[in-house]
Amino acid sequence: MTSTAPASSDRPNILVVEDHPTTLEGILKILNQFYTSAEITQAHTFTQAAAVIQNRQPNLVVLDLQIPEQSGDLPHTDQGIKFIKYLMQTYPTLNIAVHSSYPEALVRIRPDIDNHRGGFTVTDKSRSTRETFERFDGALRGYSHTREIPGSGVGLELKPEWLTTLDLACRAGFQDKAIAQRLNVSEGQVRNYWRKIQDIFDIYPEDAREDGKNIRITTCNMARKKGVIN
Amino acid sequence: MDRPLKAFNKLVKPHAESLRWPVGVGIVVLVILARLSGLFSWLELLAIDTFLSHRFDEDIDSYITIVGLDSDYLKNQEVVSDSQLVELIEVINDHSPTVVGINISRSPLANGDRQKLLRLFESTDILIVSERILPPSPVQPLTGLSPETVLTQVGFNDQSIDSDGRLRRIFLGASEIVDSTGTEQFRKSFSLLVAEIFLEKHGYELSSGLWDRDAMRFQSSAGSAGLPWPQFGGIDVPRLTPNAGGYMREPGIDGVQTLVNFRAGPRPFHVLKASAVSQGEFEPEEFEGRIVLIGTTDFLAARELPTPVASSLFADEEGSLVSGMLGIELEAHSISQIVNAVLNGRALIRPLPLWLESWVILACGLCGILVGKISASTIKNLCWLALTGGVLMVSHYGLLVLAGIWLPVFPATTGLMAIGTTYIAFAHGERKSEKARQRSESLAETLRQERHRAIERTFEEIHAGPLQTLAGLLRQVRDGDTSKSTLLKGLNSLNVEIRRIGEQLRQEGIDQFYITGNSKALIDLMHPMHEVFYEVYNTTLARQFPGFKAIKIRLVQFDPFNADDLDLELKRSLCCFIEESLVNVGKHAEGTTLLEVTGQLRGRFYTLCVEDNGPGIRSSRTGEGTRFNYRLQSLLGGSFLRRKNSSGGTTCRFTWSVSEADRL
Repeated sequence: MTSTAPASSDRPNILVVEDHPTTLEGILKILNQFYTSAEITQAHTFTQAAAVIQNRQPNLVVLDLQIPEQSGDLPHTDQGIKFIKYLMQTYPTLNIAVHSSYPEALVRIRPDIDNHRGGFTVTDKSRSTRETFERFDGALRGYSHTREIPGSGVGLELKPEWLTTLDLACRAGFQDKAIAQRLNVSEGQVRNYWRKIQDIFDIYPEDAREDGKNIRITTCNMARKKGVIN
Repeated sequence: MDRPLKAFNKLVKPHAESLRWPVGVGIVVLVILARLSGLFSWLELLAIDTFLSHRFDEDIDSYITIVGLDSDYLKNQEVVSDSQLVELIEVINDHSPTVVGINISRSPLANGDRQKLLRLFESTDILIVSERILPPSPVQPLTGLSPETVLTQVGFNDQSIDSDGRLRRIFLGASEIVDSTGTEQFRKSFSLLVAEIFLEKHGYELSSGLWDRDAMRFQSSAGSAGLPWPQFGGIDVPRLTPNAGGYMREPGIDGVQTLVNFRAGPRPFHVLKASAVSQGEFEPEEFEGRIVLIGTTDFLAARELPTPVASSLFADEEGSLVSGMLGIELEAHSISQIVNAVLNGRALIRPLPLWLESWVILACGLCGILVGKISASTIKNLCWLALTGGVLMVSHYGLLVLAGIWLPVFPATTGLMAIGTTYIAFAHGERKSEKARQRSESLAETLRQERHRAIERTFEEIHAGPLQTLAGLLRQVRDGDTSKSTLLKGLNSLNVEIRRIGEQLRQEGIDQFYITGNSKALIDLMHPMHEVFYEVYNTTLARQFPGFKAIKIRLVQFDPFNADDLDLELKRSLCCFIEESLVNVGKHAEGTTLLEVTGQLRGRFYTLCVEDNGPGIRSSRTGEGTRFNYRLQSLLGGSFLRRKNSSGGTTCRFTWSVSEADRL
C-alpha cells in the first residue's frame, strides 16, 4: 500500500486546473490550509494544463470538468471528459481529483476510470471543505473514490479481473505476486485492483487505520458479506 | 412532304417552353444592329481577304499578255516617250492582237513623235489608253485626240481605296465633269473598255444590267432568242452599293464599281518585257487574238497599289511584294475577271442584298438556339456548336470561292456562337436546377423513410418502457397484489413513461441521441460506442425491475471498436439491443444475482452479450423485443442468439462484423 505518512511532510507538487476565479480561490485556500509546503501551479485551460503536466510531472491534478480547451473557447463538459481520457491514457499513474458540480458526466468513462492506475477521486462542488480536502488527499495518495458518479444502485459493478483477484486472495490465500502471475499483469496493477475493489466496497484506508484492522482482511470479509465470493 | 417539318417539331417541341426564343432573337437583332453600325466591317473585309487569299491556284490566263515597260526599256526615264510607244505598238499590232491597252496615266507622256502616236490612235480602234479623270488630280497622258476617239478609246483608271486602306474594288464607269457649268459625261473605265472590245469580238455586247439597270451587262449578241431566259445569254457584272457585303456606308463607293476577284496562283498572267519585245524576242501567238496590256513594270517608276493580294509579277525577278501590286497588274485582274466570267463562267464576287444578309444572320442565330438544346450534355453541345461554327465557315468559304457569293460570315458566326453559348448556358442551368429538384425529391424520400423509422422507434420505445410497466402491473394484479399504493406507484410510473415518449417525439429532431426507455437520459451517439454502450447499460440498470433487485455482482466490460461506418440508425439499434436485453433480465429473470454485460472485439467480430443467472427463458413466445432483434440481424447482417444456459440463466448475444466490407 502507499505510504500513509502525513502529506504535510512531503512537498507535493499540485496542479489546479480551474478557470472560474472564485472556485479557484476556494480550492487554493483548501490546499494551502492543509498542505503548508505544497508547490501549487495553476492552469486556466486544458491546453495550458497539458503543457504544465508534461513539464512539471505534478503529484496531483485537481481539475474541473467545465474548462475551456483554449482561452477564448467556451467551457464544455465534453472537452473535460476528453481531457481526462487523454490524461489517463498518457499518464496511467497520474493522481487525478475531479472537482465538479456535474460529476454525472463521468458515467460514460467509468470503465476507463476503473482501469486507471493512479488515484482518482470525484468531489461534488457542494461538499464541505473537510470532505473536499480528504478527496484531494485521497487522490494524492493513489486511492479511488468515485461514489459521486451516479451508479446503477443494485449490486456491485466489478470487472472480471477484480473478481478473480478477490477469489485468489481471499479463498486460495494468494499473495499479490502470485495473483499478478496468474492474471499476467504487473504487481502494481494488482495493487491497483485492490484500490478499486476497496472503492466499490466503500473501504477507505483512513477508516481501516482508525479501526486498527488489516485492510485486506476487511476487504475479503466485505466480499463474502456482499456475496461476491462464497 | 411534311417530314422535315415533323423532324423540326420533334427537335423543337419538347423544349419549346424553355427555348426562350425572344432572347435568341434579341441577340440576333443586336448583332444585325452592330453590323449596320459598321462594327463588323473591318472584320468582314478581313474575312473575305483571308478567304480569297486561301484558294486553289488557277491556270495562267489565256486571254491576256502583259508587256511590261521595264527598267531596261525605260532607261532611267520616269515615263515612256511617244516614239518608244509608237514603235512598241507597231511591233505588237503586226501580230494582230484583239485589243491593246496602254496603262500609262501617272504623268503625261514625254514629248517625242506625238503626231505619229495620235495618228496611230485615230486609225487603230483597238488601241485603248488610260487617263485619270477624277479629282483631285486628273492626268491626261495623251492629249490631242478627237472627242470621239476619247470616248471610245480612252478609259479612266482611277482607284478608290477602302476605309481600311486596302484596294478591293475597281471602277467600271463614272461621271466626269466636262466643263465649268458642271455638265457631266459618263465615261467608261480603262478595264471596261478593253474588256468590251475583246468581248465584242467574241460576240458579247455591253448593255444595262437585267435587274440593276445601273449595272454593266455583257449580253450575247447571238441573241437570247433561242434561250428561254435572257440571263442565260450573258452576265451581269455586280455593281457595288455603299452598303454591299461587309461595306457599311463606305463613302468611296460611287459611280459603277465592282469587287475584284483576283486571279489566284503564282503566275496569273503571261508577262513579256518591252525591252525583249522591241528586240523581237517573242512568239507571234503571244499577241495573236489576245488582250495585250502595256504598262510600267519598272519598280522605280511604277506605283504600288495596296491590294490585299500580293503581286506575282516579279516573284522571280526583282523581289516579290508582301502585299500590293502594280497598276498594270490590277488592270489585268479586272479585265481578266470580266472576260473569264463572260466566257468561262468564272465567279464574280456578288454581295447579297442587305435584307437577305440579315436573314442569313438570323437563320444562323436560330441554329445556335437549336444547338444549345441538341443533347443533354453541355460538353457535347459545345462540340456541336464548334462543329456548326466550322460548317458555317466552310460553307461560306465554299460559296465565295465557287459561286462568288459574299455572305456575312463573321456576323453570322458571331451570332451563332453568342446564341449557342447562351442557350447552352441556359440548358446547363436548367439541368442543374433539375438535378437539384431530383436531389430535393430524394431528400424528401429520405425524410419519409426517416419518419417511418421514427414511428417504428417510437413503438420500440413504448414496448421497452410503458408496455413493460403495464405488463408488470398486470402480473401484480393477477398475483393478487392489488394494494392501492402498488397500483398508484405503477400507474404513476406509467404516466411518467408515456409523457416521456411525447418528449422523445419532440426530440426526434435531435438525431444524434439515443433516448432510453425509462429516464430522460439522452445518450450522445457521437461519443465512442463503447462509452455509449456503458451509458445505456448504466441508465437501464437504474430502472426498477424485479429481476434487478437481487443482483449482487455486475461484471461489465465494453471493448472499444471503430464505429465510424455505423450510421445513427444502426448505433441506435445496437443501444436498443442492450437496453432490450437488460429489460428482459429485469422483467423475466427474477432472482438473478450475477449479471454479465460485455462487448468483446475478437478479430473483425464484435459481440454484445447480456447474461444472467436467473431462472432462464420460460416460454418460447417471440416477443416484440426479440422480433426487433431479428430486424437488427437483417440490418447489420450479424447473428442473434437468445438461449437458456445449461447452468440456468439466459444469454442474449449479438455478433456482427465491424468491417463494413463483410456486411455488404
